[in-house]
Amino acid sequence: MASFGQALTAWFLGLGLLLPALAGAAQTDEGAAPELSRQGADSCLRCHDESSAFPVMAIFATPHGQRGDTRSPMAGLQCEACHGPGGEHAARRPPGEERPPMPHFGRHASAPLAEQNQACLGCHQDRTRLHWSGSEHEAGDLSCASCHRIHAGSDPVLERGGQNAVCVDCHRREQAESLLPSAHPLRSNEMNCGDCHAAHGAMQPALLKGALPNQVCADCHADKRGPFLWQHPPASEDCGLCHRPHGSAHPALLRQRPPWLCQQCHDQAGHPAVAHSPGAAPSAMLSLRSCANCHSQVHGSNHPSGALLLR
Amino acid sequence: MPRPHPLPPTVLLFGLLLAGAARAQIQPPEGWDCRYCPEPAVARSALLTVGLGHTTGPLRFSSDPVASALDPGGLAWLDGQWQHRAADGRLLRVDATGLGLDKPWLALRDVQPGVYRLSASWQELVHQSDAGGRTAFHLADGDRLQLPENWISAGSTTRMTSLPDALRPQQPEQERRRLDLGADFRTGAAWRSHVRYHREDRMGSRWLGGAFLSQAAWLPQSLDLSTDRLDLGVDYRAKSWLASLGYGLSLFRNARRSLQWDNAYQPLSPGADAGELALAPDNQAHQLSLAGQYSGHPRLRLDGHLAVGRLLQDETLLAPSLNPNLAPQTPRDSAQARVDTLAAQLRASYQFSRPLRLELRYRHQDRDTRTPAQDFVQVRTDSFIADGRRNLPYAFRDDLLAMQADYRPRAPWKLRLGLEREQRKRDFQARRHSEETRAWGEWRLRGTDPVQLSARLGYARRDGSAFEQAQDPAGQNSQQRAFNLADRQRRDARLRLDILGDAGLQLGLQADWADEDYSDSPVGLQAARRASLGAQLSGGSDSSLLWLLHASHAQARLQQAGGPPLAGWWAASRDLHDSYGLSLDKPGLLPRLDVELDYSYSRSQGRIALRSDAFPELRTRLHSLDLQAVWHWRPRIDWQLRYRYERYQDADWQFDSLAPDSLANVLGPGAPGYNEVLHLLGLGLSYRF
Repeated sequence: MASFGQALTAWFLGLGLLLPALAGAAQTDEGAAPELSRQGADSCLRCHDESSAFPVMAIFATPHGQRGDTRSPMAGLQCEACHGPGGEHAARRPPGEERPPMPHFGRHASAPLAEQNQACLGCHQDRTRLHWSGSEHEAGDLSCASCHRIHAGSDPVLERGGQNAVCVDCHRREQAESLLPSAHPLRSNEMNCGDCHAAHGAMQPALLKGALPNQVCADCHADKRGPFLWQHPPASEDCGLCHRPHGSAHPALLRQRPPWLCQQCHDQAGHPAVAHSPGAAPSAMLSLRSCANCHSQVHGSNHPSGALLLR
Repeated sequence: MPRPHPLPPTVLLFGLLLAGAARAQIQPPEGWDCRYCPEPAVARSALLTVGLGHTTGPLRFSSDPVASALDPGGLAWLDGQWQHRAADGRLLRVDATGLGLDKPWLALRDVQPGVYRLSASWQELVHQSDAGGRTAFHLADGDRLQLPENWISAGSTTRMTSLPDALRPQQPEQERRRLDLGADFRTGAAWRSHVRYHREDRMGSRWLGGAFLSQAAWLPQSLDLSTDRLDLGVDYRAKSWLASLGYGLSLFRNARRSLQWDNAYQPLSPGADAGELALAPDNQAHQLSLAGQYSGHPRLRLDGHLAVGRLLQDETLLAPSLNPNLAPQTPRDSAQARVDTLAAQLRASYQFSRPLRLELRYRHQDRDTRTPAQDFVQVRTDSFIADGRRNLPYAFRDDLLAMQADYRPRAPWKLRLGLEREQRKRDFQARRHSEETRAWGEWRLRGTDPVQLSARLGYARRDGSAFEQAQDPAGQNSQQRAFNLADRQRRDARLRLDILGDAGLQLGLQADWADEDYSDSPVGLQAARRASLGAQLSGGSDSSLLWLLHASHAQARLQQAGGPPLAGWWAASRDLHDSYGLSLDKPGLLPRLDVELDYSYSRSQGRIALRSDAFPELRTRLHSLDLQAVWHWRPRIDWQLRYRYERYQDADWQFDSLAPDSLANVLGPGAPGYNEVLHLLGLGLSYRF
């Protein structure tokens, strides 16, 4: 064990020292600052009307397109508030000459992700995005526009019933699990992915909300929160030890059926140690809820005689 | 019934106190007249939909608010949206869906972008939480479940001769009613504040097991639960840093302290005629959090989070037994339960150079149970006095140190490497201390190319202190290793491939694999393996046909050993899940006619074998078809036709073919297996104002 710990320390030190050396010196981009277009949004809208390949007029139905709101980009640098100076792109050119591209946004966009996201975070930086840098989505090369639609009349990920469809575009396995018979109501959009997950970064693994495990589960299942007089330690520690949150073929979103789930931790003298074999007569130890036919207070008991979670 | 509560006015008052705004002025350059922009003007719109339909429901697994109506027959519903946008950008919006159905939703919003946002919503959710069945119990005399007067107790269910006449249908249903209020304010350029209030009432019933030693009965438990949540927060944002202070409160209340029921069996000891279960106690959770971020240095970014919380529960304890012959004293009158929590995280990332970023993260979590530990004499299921037991204050502390390097050269790929060390200390459990080391690497190809690819490999090893005899429960096999404490080696791999072709054609492939090895555990879980594959193919454009095909396969295998180490047993289980789907969206199939179709098929199989004996296969099948057509009849009027078909079947040997008296020592619900079909036909008329 000690040697493994030393090896770990060596890894940390090695990574810390070696990689900077490999990386070389910092590089800076120098050059003349690009110019703004001559007429702002008029330069853009002359081409990008509803008949163009990139129609943008729907933005005027959104907060970003409100010229009367001084905080809106359209009241300031207009399109170039987000897309950057467009003088080069909008300049007069001979027919047939290709225009230099404007920075655009999205999963397959050419602009560097950091630049795309900075355009948004310049205004939208708040407590919900504290953990964005280094988060799984940021490190996974997602840009804000991977999920958000800016030029649409409404952003599906912010609409009730629209969010889950956006998430499962990448999280297909979770979508498939939601089709299982025991599942949270994600299919029906009665729950949103964002009810449990903080897409912009979180302290918990899998971008789970809450400072501690189980905290987000207790938002809806506060009856399981306790604290109880008699605790069931795994239930207090992490709901995910026994439950699969996106869906399961077993009742109550369990990872495995009782009694085998229970027998992964309990093998006491008496009935739990028994190998419950298939037999001719149905057995109470195997049928219905198995162990929970009797030990029904599996999340904890507040009964003075509830040490075995029977009361 | 929802109870009035003083919190909403408090929320609103707090919000009003924080209201106020000073706007930053950003002027466009001279000559930017925006002549092609729509003139800022007041805009109003409204959409009203009236629907009529018929359903053969209910279907427990339906995914549709309309189709999941609880009663078959005719349906009528109202959907609506009203929106008003002022010239200065202020938005007022009202949304309503499913009014008249079992799951209505109503929401109001008042938003001045960048200044404030007020919201309120009301939602009702109904679902059948458990399988229906029959019960001999009925609720009478307060909260006590009683058996009929002519009930004949017996030592086993098969000899309960009055059972057939006593059985009545019981369909557990639960209804959640949710109220959400929210207010967000910006005060000047730096301050933001928010208030959120959430109220949920949960009513209905569910099955709950109640036992007298090894003789049990399924009881229909009535629910009357409520939760109030309040979140307050203030953020301050400066040029290079951000700080946030927040407070969260959650109050849970249960209108029922306990569930008493008549013993359907012949009492095992004198006086054991009735039992009592303690139901979820009233409790509350408080949390104060402070978070901050520093980004003043061009290469350095720091963020931290500190959360201090407390869980409290002090419900008056029930009597140790309803049996008048067994009345030991309890060492205290109320639970006095308390848990203190602490969570902290500090993260630093440094951009050493353009291609290289390093991140270091430390996280600490502590759940410390402060409930007094005392000896309680145990009355075992109201039948006899057993040993005394001490309520142990289980606690854990967790420390995680993680390092991550992102290396992105001037090439369309990047490499990520991570190393983590997590230590967890637990009190009163078989292993006091465990450590897990995780290493992983990911290679990701990305750029403007149409191909995006990522591959990830991970390895983790967990070990820790020697196993001891657990203090509770007594009698545990000393060779047993609880799977969350046991030595473990874990290997995982992940592959993602996305290809963007011409004409909107997209292909996505995903593969996941994880293998957990617990072979050092003589008794308990030995191995767990999971694998999944998924593929999607989509194409088309908004103006033509949009289509999507998807398929997935997942499987999980578990192996475990039990019993005495020298003459034990083993079990193996294998769960399979396949799903397939097709979506079509065709605007303008005919003039003014848009059509959408969604079909999905999902099937699961479960196989469990014990030694060489196999249990019957567990099976589920779900077909779901949704067809919608919208005919734009007039510029302001649309007709909507909706047809939905769902079929769900299962085979579950743990429940199927079990009458209430099939098990000698469990009085069950006799729930039938599922084989349900739903047809829904609906017609809606929409008018745009």
